[in-house]
Amino acid sequence: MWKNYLIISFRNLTKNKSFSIINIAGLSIGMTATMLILLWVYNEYSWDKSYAKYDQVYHVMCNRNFNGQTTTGPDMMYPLPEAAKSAIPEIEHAAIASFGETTLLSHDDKRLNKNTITVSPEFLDIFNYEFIEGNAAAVKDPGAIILTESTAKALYGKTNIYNQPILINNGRTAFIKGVIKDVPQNSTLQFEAIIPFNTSSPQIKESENDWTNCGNRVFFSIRKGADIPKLESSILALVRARSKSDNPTTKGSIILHPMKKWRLYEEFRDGRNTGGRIQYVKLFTWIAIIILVIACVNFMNLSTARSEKRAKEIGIRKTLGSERKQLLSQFLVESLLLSIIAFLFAGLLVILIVPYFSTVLHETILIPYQKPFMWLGITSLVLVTGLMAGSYPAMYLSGFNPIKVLKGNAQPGKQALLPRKMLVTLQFIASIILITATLIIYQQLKYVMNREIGYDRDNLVMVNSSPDTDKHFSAFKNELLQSGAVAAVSRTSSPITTLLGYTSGIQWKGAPENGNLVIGFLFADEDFSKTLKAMMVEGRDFRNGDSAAVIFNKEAIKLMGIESPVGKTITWAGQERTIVGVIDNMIFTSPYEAASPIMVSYTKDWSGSTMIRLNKGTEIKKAISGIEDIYKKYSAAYPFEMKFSDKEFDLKFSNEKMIGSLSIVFSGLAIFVCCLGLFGLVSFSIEKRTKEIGIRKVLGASVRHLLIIMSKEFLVLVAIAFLVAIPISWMAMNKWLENFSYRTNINLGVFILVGILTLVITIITVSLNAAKTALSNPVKSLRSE
Amino acid sequence: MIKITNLEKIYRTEEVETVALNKLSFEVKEGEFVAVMGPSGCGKSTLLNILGLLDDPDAGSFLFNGIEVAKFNERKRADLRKHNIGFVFQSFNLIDELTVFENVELPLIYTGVKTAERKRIVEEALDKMQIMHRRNHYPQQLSGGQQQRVAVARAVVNNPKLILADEPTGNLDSSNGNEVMQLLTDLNEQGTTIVMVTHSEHDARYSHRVIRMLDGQTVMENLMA
Repeated sequence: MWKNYLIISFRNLTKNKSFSIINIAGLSIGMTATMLILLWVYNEYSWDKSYAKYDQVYHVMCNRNFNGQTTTGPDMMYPLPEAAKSAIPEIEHAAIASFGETTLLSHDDKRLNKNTITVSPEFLDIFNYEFIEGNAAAVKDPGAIILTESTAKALYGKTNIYNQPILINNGRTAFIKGVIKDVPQNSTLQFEAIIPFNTSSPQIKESENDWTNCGNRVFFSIRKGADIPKLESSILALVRARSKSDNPTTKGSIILHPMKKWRLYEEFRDGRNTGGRIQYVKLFTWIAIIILVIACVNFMNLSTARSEKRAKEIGIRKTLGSERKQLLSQFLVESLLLSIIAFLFAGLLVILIVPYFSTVLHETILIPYQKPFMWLGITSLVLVTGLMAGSYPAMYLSGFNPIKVLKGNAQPGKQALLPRKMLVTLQFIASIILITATLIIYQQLKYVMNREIGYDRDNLVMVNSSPDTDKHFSAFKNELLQSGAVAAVSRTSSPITTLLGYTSGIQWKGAPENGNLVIGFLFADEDFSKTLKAMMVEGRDFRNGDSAAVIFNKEAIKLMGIESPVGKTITWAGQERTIVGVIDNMIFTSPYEAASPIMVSYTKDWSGSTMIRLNKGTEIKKAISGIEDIYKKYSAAYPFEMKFSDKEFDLKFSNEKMIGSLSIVFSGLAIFVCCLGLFGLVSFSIEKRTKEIGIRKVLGASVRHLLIIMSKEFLVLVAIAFLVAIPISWMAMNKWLENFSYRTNINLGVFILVGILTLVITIITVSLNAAKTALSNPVKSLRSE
Repeated sequence: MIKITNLEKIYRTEEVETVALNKLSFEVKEGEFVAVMGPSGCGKSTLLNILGLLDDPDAGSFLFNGIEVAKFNERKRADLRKHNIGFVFQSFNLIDELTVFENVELPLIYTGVKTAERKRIVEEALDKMQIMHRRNHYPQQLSGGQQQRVAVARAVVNNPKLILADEPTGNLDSSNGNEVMQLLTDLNEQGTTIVMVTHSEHDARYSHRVIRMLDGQTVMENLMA
């Protein structure tokens, strides 16, 4: 029986080549898209699962109220882990870790800037890493350093380097007490070396009793079964008891953010963990389902459309004693066979596409061949696709009345006309929603990318400062300016695309009692505004000879409520400072957020980056090479690292750009699969209307008129789909845009564009098919009847 | 073998009611060869469909081998059909995608005959119908007469008690038509009951008895010489 089903399935596939090609192509594309999305989703869900205590690790977050808004941040005080572990028995291990810093690691003539983290002894009790050399005890030795395999190889060319000395920041020497495998790419916590806190240093000794300043991250591993909300309250009570005064932390609340939510639920709003990347994971899971359903609907539509051709076979089989369930099985076998063939193509496509897909996503997407669930997933995908695509046609075809179909009285295709039309409309609704969403995502991206950010990010180079460039800064700066390629130079405490930190300690005349203004700050020296081409609204730029000068942005002055600010003084960090200027609002951090208050404080002591403004029209490659030569002349002991401000700023859009790229690819695929189905349906429709078209031609119908007649029924469906899809898209995308403070408005133009696009695609798809018939000799079509 | 009593079948549309069978009664004995004749629309095909359990009557009784089958559900009808009834159609109704062998094999698949046994039975049937040399051909590669011989082979392969033939020579020239009628006669002589709907007086002469129908009723029965 099954052999017979397979034989007839194969013969049907080879006999109806165009039907098979359309179906297999549609299903293959649908499956490819689905598998790619599911691989990405799997990759997203796999984050941090390499840690043994995945279910037990929590990151301590704190809700603090700043400028009337609740902000959730990971900054915690140094003594918290040890105190919490002693006081709260549910805490199994507790560790503090820095946020990560760029550290210069040197060995012989090799010097590399690496991302290091500084951690307390229990860090490796919470996070497990595989040691190639040494063991976890290394983290308890303040003179030790643990390197990752890549760092070890980059510096030493090997990993058996136990107890080798290594120079840190051209200062102290540490000894390598461990080499670990590289941190998995899918780990939220990333670093290239671990440095233990030096608990005997005076700064750390001081920090051990500092319950106010927060500058590190705290991690706990918590015993299974612990009541997390109760623990959060206990930790807050502990912080309140130990802090000597009220501060934003004691007035706030504690959130224990579980490791399993670090990747996908990373966003906090109004003090609650609201989601984050998960919205994209869910969105694309739905898109995967929609594309697969669109592909399956193609199969359903084409199968029922060609039902007349199968009707005789069904009649005969029923007459010979086939029961309906046997026919159902037969048609399901056919659709499963098609699904398997489509999967073979899809699997091949996925293998070929995955590397490019990874590039688009800026993530390494791997196919988990060794995981049994992958094979289970593939089997399910093939089964679900085959059954979903085949179920309706199987029900429909097996229900034919043998008498009618054998007598040729029935026109079985007609019975399925309404469902078929509904399915086509649904396909187009889904496709139009995807196209609209893609256009709006791009519109928002363009809107934010074109946002006035308060400085000119083109031709602005950010070079890492070093103690040597700082030491000879005047000469270094002069030489840069004399090179002819550089227009201005200024030092800042951090690259201009980030802030150094936030402070709530600014006092000024007229400041409100119990005010809690939090301002982002950075340090800079002379020519700050000139280098950045930041617009001075009032006052002047920093200049040589300034000592305690500050520049605020407009938003800060507005929030502080200072009238005629230039020349007035503020007190910060125990020093009185004069406001010398006000700059326009600058966007340092998220381009999606409203402008925030910023203070730039003049200093010559603290530099992290050297901002270099290149002359307009300078040949960039040559200019950079010249800057590097000058840098090396003054700072031979430090590696030269530079970044372009515009490229660095663009990284802030990487998530949205990725979403945009994914949307355009998958909505394109969806509409393509949709058109494949439409193409197939049109060809069936035309086949049925060959005689009618012949008669119309004989009676004088023009080709254009015939094309209109043949396109009309499909254009009506697409028009209905458009009318249904637009309000859905509008509502959904408005909701998405609500995620951004700085957002575009959805205008009518998008919908007009989508309408035209859909219309053109439909007309092309229909015309490709219809034109041949409309142009053919009518005698031929009449004879064929 | 077949006993129908007061069989009724009415086709209804929104505006028209057509009585296809009007209290029709007759009996077919085992081993008989009965021809049903009558003008178009007299109810011959409806009768054949009901006898073949492809359709059910609106009223009346249909006893098949003494069992009332008029109210059988689809599953029971399919079961009874595949074990007891073979069909021969005017337009052959072979499945284009299957070879001659596979077409003839089909009823055996539905009755669950094992592969090796199927092969033997099909080859025997094809041999009997003198179509063995065409076993691997597709229906479109055969002449009308050959196609009808395949259809007859398929009808008899399960060794049915009853063969229902709906104008079996309608699409054939006289020589091929005679050949097919001879095949049916041979089968009947071997004990198979045959009910044949035909317009052809010539074909009807091969039968034992002719039932003539008009407006859904039997108007005359003739015994053939």
